[in-house]
Amino acid sequence: MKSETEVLKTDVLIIGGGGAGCRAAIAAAEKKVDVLVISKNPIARGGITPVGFTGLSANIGQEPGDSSDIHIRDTVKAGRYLCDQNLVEALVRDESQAVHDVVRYGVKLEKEKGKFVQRLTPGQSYPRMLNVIGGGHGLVSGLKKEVERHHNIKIMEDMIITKLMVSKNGISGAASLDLKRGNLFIIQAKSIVLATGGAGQLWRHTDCPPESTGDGYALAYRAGAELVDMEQQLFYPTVAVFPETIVGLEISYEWCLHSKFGGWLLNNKGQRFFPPEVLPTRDVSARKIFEEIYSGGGTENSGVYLDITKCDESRKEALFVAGMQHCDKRLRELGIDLRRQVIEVAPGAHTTLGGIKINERGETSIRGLFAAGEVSGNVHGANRIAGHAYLEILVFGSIAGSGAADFAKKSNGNSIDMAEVRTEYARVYGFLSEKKDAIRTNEVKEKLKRTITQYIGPKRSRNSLETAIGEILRLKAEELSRLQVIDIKEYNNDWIEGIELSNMMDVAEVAANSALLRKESRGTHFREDFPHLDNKNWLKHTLVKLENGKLISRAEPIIMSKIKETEE
Amino acid sequence: MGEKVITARVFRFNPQKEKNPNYEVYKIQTDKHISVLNLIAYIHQNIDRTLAYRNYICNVGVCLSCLLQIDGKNARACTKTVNPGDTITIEPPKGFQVIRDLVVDFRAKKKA
Repeated sequence: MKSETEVLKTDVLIIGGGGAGCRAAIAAAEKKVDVLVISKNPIARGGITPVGFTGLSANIGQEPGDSSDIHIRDTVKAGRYLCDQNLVEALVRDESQAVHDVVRYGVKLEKEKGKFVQRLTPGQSYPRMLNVIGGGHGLVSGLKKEVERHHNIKIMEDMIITKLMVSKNGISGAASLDLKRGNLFIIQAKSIVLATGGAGQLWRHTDCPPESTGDGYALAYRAGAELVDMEQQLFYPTVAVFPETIVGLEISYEWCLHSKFGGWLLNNKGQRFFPPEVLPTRDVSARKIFEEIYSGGGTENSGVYLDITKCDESRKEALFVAGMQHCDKRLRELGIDLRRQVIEVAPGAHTTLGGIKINERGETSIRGLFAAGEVSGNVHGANRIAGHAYLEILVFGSIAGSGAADFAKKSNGNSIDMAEVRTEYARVYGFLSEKKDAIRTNEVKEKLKRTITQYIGPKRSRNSLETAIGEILRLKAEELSRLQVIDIKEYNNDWIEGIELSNMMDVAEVAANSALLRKESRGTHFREDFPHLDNKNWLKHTLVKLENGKLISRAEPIIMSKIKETEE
Repeated sequence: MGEKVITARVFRFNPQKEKNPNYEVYKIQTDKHISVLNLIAYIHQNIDRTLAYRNYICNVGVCLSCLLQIDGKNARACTKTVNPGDTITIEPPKGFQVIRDLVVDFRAKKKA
């Protein structure tokens, strides 16, 4: 441990090097402030943005008849009316600009006869899906190039933020662990943008990369910020479970099962059970597939069969040209040809819809702390339309980055509480110290993931949630302090996992309490004991925060600034 | 995992502490056809918690986070697969400074 604490100063600190973080950094840098980007992995070799195959959905004024009002209505309806509509209005207001900006940075979108190609996906009234060349990786690579053009942006990779520092006047900075050397240092920042993505790794089956452990939710929660609708976890309907080499791969049901192409899902008796005539949105599709698996129709790998082998050849080829090129290329690299081979799929944890509560300026409930992208909540509500994740990271990344820069310009910065720093040093280095009754990180992680998957899965009840909370609190009280991490300072995966695991425990506790509070079923949240939508009592957010060391939950009406009536 | 064995010869080096790298041999019982990245994750998960590697996968095969030398050639560990009975050598990718074991600094090119 160091006797003198290293302190780095910046105007704006961006936590996260994915799409939202990069877009926020660009927006802040354009306002001529000093920007520091901290990323757990190297940019474009980390984050969740690279995982997507295509998909940036926006109304860019190309489609006759489409309008902002219709796009807002589609989004709110697909979100099961749980979106804060002021955020949806911001999302749609800036959508065209967001697309033009990334094109200006060098991101390539599929074009035909001088026009951007746009396709129709479930939940959208007009074709809005733009095909990003190179998928999410193409998008974040373009953003990275633009980030590197700004000399006032400093990038530090292979770093994990372990704590947000808050003074009575608001945010003051953060503690950062340099994974290359193992030294913890302090960053003093006038404002901070959290852009750390979601928590897909809490569940056993997911298409999210290993680093999606919900760090940002835990950081914000421990700092006292309010989290919203954390019970809303979207499961992508069709994520590969077999063969072994493709486990975790998102197989686009929006394309494969589209009536135009004609793919099917089959149960273990070979019966076609999905899709119905009109392909449903993701929340409904995932529930239907889960039900089939739960009721005994699943394979030995707990999946169902995805079959497009019987579609006629011309439709197959149209499918692989339309939206499946990247996925097809990837599958074929791994020796799988969907034209001739049936694979097994199951719903997998995809987008964490809930998150840190923000307003239309990207501000959280802590002064000087902003959030953008998947880490924030209340944008998509209880279900997300395909392509809206990339739209969100671009629009809200820009809003939050720009807001954080304005905030920094007016602020002198807050002082760092050195007592808090010492406590954090003790916590972070404490993972490495020798313990009596030591337990291995991966053992505890396995227990936590099992609990989350079983009791906070797509189907919950008061019983299952109370069981989950009991077990999570037990793990926090009895096992977290006994975690024995290998004592190596230089790039230690075990240490990273230990820190992530402590985050996952807090996120799971928040998610379970939010789910317990919402006594209805809406979107991705299904309560066996309250199986129906309840618009009379539950056009409300669930809110969770930490107050004097205690988890407090409450409900609050959603913002319905645009559409006052629900259709259901 | 099974009856047959995959033998992995893995590069180990901590430049902060050691003068020279060495190789550690892991024998993994399995009957599965798996990616090299999953093999490394399996070793870290079940055999040796001290092994350092970049635990990231973009699932699309494009990010090059898992770029490693596999049997002497730079390749993507997420795409290169091994079969039960195989023996492979896994080293950090050519041309970059080693942070530890299989983890390199992609921003620090090594002089040839």
